[in-house]
Amino acid sequence: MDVFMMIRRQKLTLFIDTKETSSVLDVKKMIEGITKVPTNNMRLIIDSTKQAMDDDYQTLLDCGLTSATAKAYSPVLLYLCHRKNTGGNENDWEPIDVAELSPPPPLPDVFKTDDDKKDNIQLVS
Amino acid sequence: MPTDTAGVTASSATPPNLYGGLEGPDSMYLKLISSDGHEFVVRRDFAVIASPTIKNMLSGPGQYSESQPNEIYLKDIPSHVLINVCRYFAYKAKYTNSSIDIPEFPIDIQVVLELLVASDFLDC
Repeated sequence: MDVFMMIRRQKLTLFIDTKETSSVLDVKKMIEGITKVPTNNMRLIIDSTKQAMDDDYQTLLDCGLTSATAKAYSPVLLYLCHRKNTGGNENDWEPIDVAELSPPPPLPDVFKTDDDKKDNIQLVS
Repeated sequence: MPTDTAGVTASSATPPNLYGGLEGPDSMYLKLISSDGHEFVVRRDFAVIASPTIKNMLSGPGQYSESQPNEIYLKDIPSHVLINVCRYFAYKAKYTNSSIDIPEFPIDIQVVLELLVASDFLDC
């Protein structure tokens, strides 16, 4: 069954879908195809558990991503981090850094409370 | 580097390539860029099926210059709206012609009005 993922890093969001039997490495390769970052320099972290998907040969099911939790209209959120190339330390990863989306505008009054709805219906008729 | 040259060769005889990229006229993915510079990468086929506007932008005779780099600048659509649009593309692709019960698509009430404007523009 299909698993839908939203993979975010800074200002980039990737909407990727694949089977729940695919491996973590498959997903990383799909990301590599888009971002051109090598798979060994990328780290995926599940938002809900804050667990990193470091075992490339686990399936998404093993990581807890199932078609029931990752729907098309409600994809599971994963964070992407690149390895910092400090030359020395192999385990130096960027911190999770995701740009905020724009704030929605303030709600117009018609949406505010249910009490107002009755008045609106009268206006329409 | 590994030979996953996805989408670089136009006529690749390889089987359906899972590892699609953003290059070329038949790329697997498209990049949609919101008014505030957020980039959203979605499956090309999802976007083209759901939105005739995007399909025309990509296949127009050079009228829109988005066809080559597979990037579409949607300067009227902010990121909090575009993220809902992308979710809708996946939802539509998954449940069109589906025999199972179609669940409701949840929309945050705060984005409803702007989402309506965006959907009018994208014709979906």
